[in-house]
Amino acid sequence: MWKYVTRRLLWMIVTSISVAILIFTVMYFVPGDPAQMALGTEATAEELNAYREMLGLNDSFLVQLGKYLYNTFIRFDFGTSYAYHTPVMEEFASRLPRTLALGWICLIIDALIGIPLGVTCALHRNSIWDQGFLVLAMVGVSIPNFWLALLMVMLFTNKLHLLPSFGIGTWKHWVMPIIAGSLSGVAMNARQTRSAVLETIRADFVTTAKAKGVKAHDVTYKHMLPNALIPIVGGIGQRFGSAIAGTVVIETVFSFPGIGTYMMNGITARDYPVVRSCVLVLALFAAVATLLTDLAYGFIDPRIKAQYVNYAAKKRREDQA
Amino acid sequence: MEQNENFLQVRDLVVEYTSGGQVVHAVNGVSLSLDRGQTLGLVGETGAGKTTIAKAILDILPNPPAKVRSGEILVDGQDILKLSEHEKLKIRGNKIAMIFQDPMTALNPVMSVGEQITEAVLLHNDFTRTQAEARTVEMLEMVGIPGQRYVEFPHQFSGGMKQRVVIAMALACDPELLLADEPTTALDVTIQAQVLEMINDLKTKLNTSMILITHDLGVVAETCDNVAVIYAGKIVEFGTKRDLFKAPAHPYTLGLFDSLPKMDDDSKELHPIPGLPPDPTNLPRGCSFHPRCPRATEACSREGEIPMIELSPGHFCRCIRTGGNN
Amino acid sequence: MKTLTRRDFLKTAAIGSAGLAAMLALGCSKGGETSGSNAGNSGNAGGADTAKANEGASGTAGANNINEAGALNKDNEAAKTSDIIDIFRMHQSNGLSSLNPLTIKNASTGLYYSLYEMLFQNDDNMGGGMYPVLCDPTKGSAGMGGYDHAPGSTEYTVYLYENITDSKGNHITADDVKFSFTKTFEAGQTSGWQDAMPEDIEVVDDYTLTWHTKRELNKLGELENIWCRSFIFSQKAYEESPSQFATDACGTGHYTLGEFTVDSKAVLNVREDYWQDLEKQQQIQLANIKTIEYIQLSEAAQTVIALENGTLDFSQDLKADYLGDFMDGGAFADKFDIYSYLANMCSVLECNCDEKAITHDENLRKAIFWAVDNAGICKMMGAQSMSPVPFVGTSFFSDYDPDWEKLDNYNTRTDLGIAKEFLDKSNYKGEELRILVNNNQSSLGEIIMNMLGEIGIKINIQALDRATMGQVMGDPTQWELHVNMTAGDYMPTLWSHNHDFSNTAAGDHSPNFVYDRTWQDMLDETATVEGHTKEKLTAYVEYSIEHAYCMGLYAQYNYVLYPSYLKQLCFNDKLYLVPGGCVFEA
Repeated sequence: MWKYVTRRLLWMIVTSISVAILIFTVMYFVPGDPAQMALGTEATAEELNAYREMLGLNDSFLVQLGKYLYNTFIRFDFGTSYAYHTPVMEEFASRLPRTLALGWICLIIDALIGIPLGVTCALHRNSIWDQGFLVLAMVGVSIPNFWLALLMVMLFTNKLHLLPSFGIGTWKHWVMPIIAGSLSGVAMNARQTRSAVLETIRADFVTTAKAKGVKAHDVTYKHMLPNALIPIVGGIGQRFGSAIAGTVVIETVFSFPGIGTYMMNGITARDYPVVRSCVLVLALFAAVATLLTDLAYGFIDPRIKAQYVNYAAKKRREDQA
Repeated sequence: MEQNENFLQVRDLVVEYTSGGQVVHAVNGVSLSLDRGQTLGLVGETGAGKTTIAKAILDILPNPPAKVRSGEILVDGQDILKLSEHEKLKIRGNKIAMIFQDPMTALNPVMSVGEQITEAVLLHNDFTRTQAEARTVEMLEMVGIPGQRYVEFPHQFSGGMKQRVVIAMALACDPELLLADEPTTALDVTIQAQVLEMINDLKTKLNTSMILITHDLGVVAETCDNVAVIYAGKIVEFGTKRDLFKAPAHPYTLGLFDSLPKMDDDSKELHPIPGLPPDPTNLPRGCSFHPRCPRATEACSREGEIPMIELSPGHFCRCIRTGGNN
Repeated sequence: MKTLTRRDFLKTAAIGSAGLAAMLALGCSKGGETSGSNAGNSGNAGGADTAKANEGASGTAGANNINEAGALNKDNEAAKTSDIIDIFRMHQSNGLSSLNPLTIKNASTGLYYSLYEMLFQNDDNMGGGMYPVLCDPTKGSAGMGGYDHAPGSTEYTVYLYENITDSKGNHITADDVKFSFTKTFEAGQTSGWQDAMPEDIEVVDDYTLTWHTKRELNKLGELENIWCRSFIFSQKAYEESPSQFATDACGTGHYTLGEFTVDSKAVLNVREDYWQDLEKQQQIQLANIKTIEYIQLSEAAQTVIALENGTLDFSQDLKADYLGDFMDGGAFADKFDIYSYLANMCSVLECNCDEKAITHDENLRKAIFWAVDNAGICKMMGAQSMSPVPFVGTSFFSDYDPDWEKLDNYNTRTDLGIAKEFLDKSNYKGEELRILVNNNQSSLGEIIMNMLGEIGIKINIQALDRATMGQVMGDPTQWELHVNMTAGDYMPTLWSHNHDFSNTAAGDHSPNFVYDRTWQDMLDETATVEGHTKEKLTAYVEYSIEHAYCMGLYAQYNYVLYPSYLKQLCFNDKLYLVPGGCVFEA
């Protein structure tokens, strides 16, 4: 099993370097001049040139690429933002935890509420609760989260004066962003769980378990759910990786200074260090998320784990043969 | 616990399924009884209602569609259908256990086989974990599986071995009644023989009663004491193995025996029973078999229940065209 | 599995539609209040029943709670008798990304002016003179005091106050001043300093410095461009700063930095040990507030909610659409007042005048300009908050000449007949002309496209973001028309921003590929102090119109929303509020 993990980690390094080269090249060719963005529309051509020289943008493509790769992967220096004048690493250090916290808390809530909800609906299929829930799920998935966010602000801040409507600071600042961010996730999770569990309800081993005298609750949570988990875990794993990017809208509405807005501002301002670093970090997170999801699959379903282990064993046998 | 009194008694069991607005009459007034240590074979075509009877005894029918309309199921004098869920849980797996048809899907793929057996053991006994595991290993060994394979998962076993695990799981708590639903249908013939032999041995050792559901007359011949033939949710013939094989009476039973291919038969064709089993949502009037019966008369299709006629002591037949009316 | 019957389907559809209808009703009832701008309805004035706020001059009394120009305080002494209030929370839609005082070229906030100070400051609108802040007005006899310059020479000497300290207690000397200028230059955001380089500054003594310039700085605003564009700080403080002033601050201003969260919040606290005595303080040095908070909210709806809620006190970033609740008749009209002025940003339509371009033909250009109706554009895009301009320039500027509105040309009126005449004379054969617009102004592009369509000119709209547009404009084969925004300090700088030949790498043509040297010379002349006369400015305007080099479209009103206990506003020269200097009545 460790061989499998090691192999995946090595691939992740290759992936990161490829992503870095790719994003560097894309940003290089995208039209738009960071000097112009920084100096504004009043700058003359010489000023722009001088600024570009200062940023090192006048070197050839390969030289710039080489410097960038060296800095990023050997010195772990992500550069200094053109607009913020602070090292990107520092900004990450303060923003990444915020966005990740927001994203992951939403994810956890999605799972904690969504999965039991889906299981209950599956067990009471076609009852009035189930049908009501299906409509609610459709609504939950369709409501744009910024609209919901603004409605909540109008209610909780304006009318009831209970919660602050923007910024960060106390735990109260997190309540509405989390609710707005997790609603559609709860609905999606519940629906996925519901269909996955419905598939396992008719399975033979469930009847076996019942015939053994296992309590209904245990039949659901010890026998059915672990088998139904594969697609659910897949969905959660994918959202885990995109937790950073997914919160941009929430961050804008609530003026929540996180990675999402950082990246958006960086793109508009052609702030190369910011954009490159954000994309690289995003890619890394996605890769880690995929790895963890695959490991989770292996943990849940021993047949998949066997595949991972067997693959290594097969390779060994092939090598020896 | 007198030996004479029937250990299991089913009286006038009626089970219906509601599906898409229509009512499926799965079991239509079945009565049977079983003594301790005896094996009853339930024979019939697919869809005759055999599995439903077995699941009804354990009360694990899927609840929204299926419903037990009426009847009694007495085990050791207690009516199972009238017990609370809590008490039923105590009986399932413990007093009455079931072996299912398809071993490939009967086991939970994400739990180790040992764990699944231990779960049953822990549910019904006051053992510690270690004791339960020891018992599991004991059962595995009893069915011929090495104890080290406790931690392995179902996908690592072949079909026959899986079925053995299922049997071990069913017998782990020393049940008094074993319901075996076509336990060898999904296995090939050589394995079939092994499994049957094992079931027989265990049964004798533990003095377990058994209801063996099958559509294979050969299996019946090997293992059963009594046989009930089921057609369209009703028992159409009942008797000892000897009765049935020596003197089958009901036209359906005769048809079943006829359709078995014989070694010394020169003809190139089989002799199946003509026609198809009836639509369970719309059973024929009178005798359910009369549309396919070579001996049917007008009286057979008359409205009303055809009564069971005792042809000889213990040998019953639900047909008005037998027993002296040949 | 239950088969789905038609009944089930209808049931679900009914529930779903009912839910949707409910939500739509809810959304519509809340949204119906704001007056949207309808690009496309030529007739509608697209507004509520509020009267048009301004007619060119900066702020006439309005029926809408919008204040007179008197809201701008020009009286130092009055400001000193103001009440002191405890806290004032200001809204920023962006601009809290960095506190670096060296890179304020594009800064959209007055935050720095409370933390740091400059040698001199401008009166608002750059119309008045340069008044000394860190320099001592009792020394030096040029201008409003604080410096010496013999006319005709290339030496400029400034005299500092001798008791300046920053918030960490560092004493500011001439060495610090030279250091500050050097650092500002190195940050690369200055322009026009080539004749007055920081390396040529001579430190005469602890409180005196002399600039040795390469030539006399007699162009309009040149001296201000240097002395009013560099904050002064202590070398020691800068070197000790962990982030080089990006996330911390140490300046000589009347406020110090409390907490700072990037892109979120900055808190400024009054500095008890401020170095300047109250009588000698200029208005922007006052501290009539104890704690100032700058709060960044990018979402306008959130800003309105915060203002109504009391978590924000001030905003100068809101568009007219969002001010409904604060204007007369609105729920909060008595808590807030609004001051509006025509912004210094002006929208300009230009043609590609390169030889190879179709629009090189002057007749075609005139046809285009006569067909485009800038008043019509304003009506369609938001009558309340936009105003057509008679050329490139708005009444924001002190050297704006209202007489330009009286001239008769394609800027001041539209005539499709004249447009068609010019079109016939031109060699336009029905080609498709590409117009570049900013990607949030595609409706403007469509309006222009329709207007030109009336005389038969075909248009292809390309909506690009700012960065891309800059790139595409540089290639004369890629566009025929483009709409741009321009800004500056005076008319000449406004014009030179778009038209100066030095903006292009070759230097022999303007960014819209005009190679006419006369035009550039006229522009250069208006930029000198002597040449900055009404006649020369008007001459440039008329020359540009005669050759159809450009057309002014519109300028927008900016709205300053402030609480009614704020009696008079204090702005810096870029018209951002310096809150400490405002007058309050608690």
